This record gives sequence, C-alpha cells and structure tokens, in this order.
Amino acid sequence: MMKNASHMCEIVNLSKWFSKTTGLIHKRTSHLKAVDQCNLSIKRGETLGLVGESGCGKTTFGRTLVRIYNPTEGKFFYSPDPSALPVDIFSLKGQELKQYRKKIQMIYQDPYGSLNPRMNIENIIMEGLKVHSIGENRAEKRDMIATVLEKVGLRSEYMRRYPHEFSGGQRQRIGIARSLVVNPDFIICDEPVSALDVSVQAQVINILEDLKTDFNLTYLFIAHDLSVVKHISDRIAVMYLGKIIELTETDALFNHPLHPYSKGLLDSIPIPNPHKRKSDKQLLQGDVPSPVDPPQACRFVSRCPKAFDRCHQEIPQLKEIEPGHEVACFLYE
Amino acid sequence: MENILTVKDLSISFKTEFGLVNPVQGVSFDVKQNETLGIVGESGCGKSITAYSVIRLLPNNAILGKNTQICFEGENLLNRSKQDLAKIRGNRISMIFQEPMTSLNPIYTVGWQLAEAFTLHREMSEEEVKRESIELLVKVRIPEPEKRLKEYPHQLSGGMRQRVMIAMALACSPKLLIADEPTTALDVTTQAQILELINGLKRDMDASIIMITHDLGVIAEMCDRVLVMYAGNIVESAQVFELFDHPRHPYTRGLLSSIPNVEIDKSSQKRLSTIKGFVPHPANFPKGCRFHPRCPHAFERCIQENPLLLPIKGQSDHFSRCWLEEGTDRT
Repeated sequence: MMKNASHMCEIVNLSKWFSKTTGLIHKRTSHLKAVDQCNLSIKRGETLGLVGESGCGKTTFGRTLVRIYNPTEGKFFYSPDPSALPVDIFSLKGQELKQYRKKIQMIYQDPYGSLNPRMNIENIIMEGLKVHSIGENRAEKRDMIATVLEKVGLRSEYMRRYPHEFSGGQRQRIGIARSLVVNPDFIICDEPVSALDVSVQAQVINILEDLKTDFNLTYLFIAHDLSVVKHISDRIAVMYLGKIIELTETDALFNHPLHPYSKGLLDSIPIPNPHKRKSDKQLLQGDVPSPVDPPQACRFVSRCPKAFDRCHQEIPQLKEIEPGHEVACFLYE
Repeated sequence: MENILTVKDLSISFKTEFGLVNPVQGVSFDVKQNETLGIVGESGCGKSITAYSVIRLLPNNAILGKNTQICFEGENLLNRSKQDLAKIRGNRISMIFQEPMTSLNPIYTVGWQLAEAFTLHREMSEEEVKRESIELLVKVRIPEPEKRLKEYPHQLSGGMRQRVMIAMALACSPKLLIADEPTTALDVTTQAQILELINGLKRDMDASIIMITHDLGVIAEMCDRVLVMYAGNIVESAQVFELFDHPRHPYTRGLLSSIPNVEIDKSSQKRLSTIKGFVPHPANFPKGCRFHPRCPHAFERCIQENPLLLPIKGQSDHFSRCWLEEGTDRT
C-alpha cells in the first residue's frame, strides 16, 4: 500500500468525472474528465505545489481529497504519523470519516465568498470546534480562538466583528485561522493568495510558511501563479487537462523542465525585469481543449510542438526519468 | 517626440452616501507618440478610472476637478459635447477591457459586433465591411476567420474573445489604445500570446498604448515608461529600465521586493519582505503622504503634508512623490 514511510498521503488512480446526459430519446452521456487517473504521493512535512491553467482540474483534485466531491475512482491512503497504518479516506463513512476531516483541512480561494457574512468571526471559527467537540466549554473554545487569531496576525478583539469589516488579506487570515483551530496535519490551500493585492500577498505567504514550521504542517498548495508556487513549494506537480504530466523538485522543474507543456508554461511567465524581455521566444500556441470526452491520446497533443504518431494513439503514463523527476511524455521513452 | 495625450491636474470625485469621495487627485501625465505607457497599482489606487476619464467613460455622479485638462492631439476633450466624444471613442481612441466574457454582447455574432465598430465611424458597403473584418481577424491571428464571423461569443475561448476585443479596438486604426488589464482574466500561456500580439500590432500600427495593470511582470514585458499609482496619486514615474533598476519611492521598492523572484532558485530564496498594513479605501485615504502609515521611512513631515512629485537629482525623466527626495543625492 504505502510505498514509503515518509509519505503522508498516497493518492492512487484518482479520477473525478462529471457526467451530463443529453437527448430525450437517444440518450447520450458525456463525461467531463476533470481529474483522470492521477497518482501522487505527498511527503510528511513538505509543501507540494500543484500548478496548471484554469480548467486543468487542480481545484477538483483538492476538493475530492477533502470529499467535497465523491471520487469516481481511486484511493487516498493517509497516515498521520509514520507508525500508524495508512487508511483509505475514500472508503470511510460517517463517524470514521469525521475524525479524519479535522486532520485534513482546506483554505479557500475567495476570501469574500468563503466566510458567512451573517456570522461574526468568533462563530465562524467556533463552528469547527463545535462539530469536532473540541474544548470543554465556551470560555475554553474562546481562548483557543484568541490564540489562533494571534497566530495569524489578527488581534483577538476582532472576534466580535463581522467579515465585511475586514480587508481581503485579513479575511484570508480568518480563513486560515478557521482551518488551523482544529489542529490539522495536512492543509489543502486552494489558490490562497490569488485574490489578494501584491503587497498583501507576501504577508499571507509568510504566515503560511511560519505556521507550517510552528505546527509541523504538510501543504498541498494549489495555484496558477508560478513565482508564488516556486517560492513556497518543495516539489511541484504540473497538471494539464485532468492529468499530472510532470512531478519533481522545484528547482529541477524550473531549471530543466522535461515536458513540452511545462517548458511552454515556464517560458510564458512575465518576469518583472525589463532586461529579460522575451524576444522571439517559442510561445505555446492555441488554447486548452475541452475536457469533455477527450480522445485516447496525449492530452497535450493538439498544442505540442514535438508531437509524433504515438502521441495521437496512446496516453503516456507518469514515469520516473531521472531520480525524483517524473514525466508523462513519449519523448523520454 | 510629440505628446499625443496630455492630462493635467486630473481630479475625480464622486458624490456618495458617505459624502464626497475623491479616488483620484492631482494626476498629471502625458503619452508620447508610439509610446507604451504603463499605469501600475493595486486595487483602488485609481488607475482604471484615470484611464476611463480620458474618454469620459465615468459614471454620472463623477465630478472632474476645476483645473483638470485633458488634451488629445492638441484639443481639449473636456470642452467637447457628448456627440463629439462618441465620434472619438472607438475611432481615434479605443479601449480593450478586462473581461472579454462580459464586454462582448452575447446575443450578437462576432461579425455583427465587428461591423458595428466600422459602420459607426465610416461609410462602408457590406462587402467592404466583411472583407475588412476578415482582415482584422487574420491580423489578431484568429484561425478560420470566415467561420468565426458567424459565431457567438460563447462559442469562443477566453483568449479568442480577447482577440476579438482587440480586433474591434483596432477597427478604425486608433491613435491611442487604452488597455485595461487586458490579460488579467487569462491564463499565463494565453497571456503571453496576447501580450506578444499587442506588441506586434503596435509596431505595425503607429499608435500609442496606455497599459493598465497590477502585474509588474506585464509592465516589464510591455512598457516604455511607467506611472506607479497609490491611493489616487502618482507616486513615481520613470522610464521602465530606470524604474526597475533604481526604484526610488518606498512603495515601489516595497512592491518590487514583495514579489517572489522567479529568477532565483527556490533553495536560495529568502523570506519575502512585506509592506505592513493594507491598501486604504478611497473613502478614507490618510492625511499627509498617503503611504505614510505603511512606510518604513515615514517621519514627522510625511504625516502633515502630502509631498509633491519631486524630480530625482541628475535624472530628467524620473519623479518620486516623497519628501526623502528633497535635497538628497542619488544613493
């Protein structure tokens, strides 16, 4: 099951399809393959970045892990500490699942939509404590909330206030406090800074890094901003149209990306240095195709400058090409 | 080089339920021929509304300052009637908006919307319109242009819609193109394509561009000269190389150092430096220098008086709104 004791999560063959039936008489079901047979392991204590463009399935991937969506297929083995036997989170129900819900938490993208405007900060953060019966009484719960608010750089007096009284950056801190208060091991951060202004973004990134050290957390960091992902991640997985196409250490990916899509993606980052302007760089052409009923071929074949016959006929699998560097591309076979 | 647009002492205020709100104050700048001028700043700094005011695309409750002057090719646009302005908009000055999803009309075909851009300003026959529309779509590199003319916006991808927007903006060969965050809603690979396209078109077209963005990467990639805005003021202006090589204003410096540097290996990256606090709301900009509550160098005078846009010594085209510039030599 779990190949390696240093792994906290082992995601095997994860698929999430959304189905749609059309036609009244001749019924036809089409599948939007948001996530399609992905394998990924996450080491204890690391930050794994998951990058890709919109519609590549990175958010669906994160949401399926916390069971917001039920997976179409696959297993998610989770072992909170090295001695514990890994458990398949996807096979759990009811009370059994609930005890893992507090171990695996999520921070959402939109700091405006993810906080209930009718609840004050105390009640927003207290919900998690109530659901998981943490803390003896209200006073103890309130103490825990005050501590966690200070951890994310907010004053504990703010407890009585409502979300609209806060700026975007402060709201995102409240979101972080809410996931932190139940004492999780693993946090899925879904684009936690992309809605924030540049000058505030850095504050939130620093908080996330500090919390990781203080509480021994493991992060799955989902984002599309590659410079942020590079800064925060130890390893990075690149997704394209529901598939993980490359997985390696951060510096290895940025210094020598292997998959043609990763190369194109990295080349298109606008660098804040006018001396490094792109002149006649080979930009990726075209747009991401539809994920509905994709053909039995490499998902990237329509945009790939190096595609050959085999790419049109088979789906490449993620394989280790160099130690710690996995890529799904026939060029390397 | 000649100035195509001169804006002097632009102030915009709004009558709201909280009283008079003043999101832009004392903004002066010019755009030279064939120049790409970047306006960069965070949300609420007044960058979009500054550009919109040039063609007076402002809400009805907006009031322009008494001393405001907006001169385009030598004529003061503020004296012109609504009808005159309508003739200039989309013709000599045109705009690319941020949201390609919402700025195209969903119930008309691409061809219809492109034709509208032509027929509003020029007298043309149907065949001419069709021929020129196809030419435009080729110019913005849309494959199968004839087929696309008959399609509706929802049938196009985000990148394709933005290309259609650009084609519409270029229909009458404008002298000035205002691009308001043209790539913010797009993915990074599409963004690179669109930026390359705009750069290429500008080379062929002999037009000036005002590029509004919050992304310093886009600025570095595209612009010749840059205005940095903060809380309704221009806080720094310089040529693009000068700005990135020798930023002067504490806000510009803070902004540049709070972006993770993608050119440095992860293993040697340090903790990000931050600007404390958050961006103020236009209804309560601080007194004195508007950046002083967040500035690491603020002193007594900054709390009292808003500094002027002061020239940097030894530099002809570099200004910073900071009291630190007074009587200091370049460090």
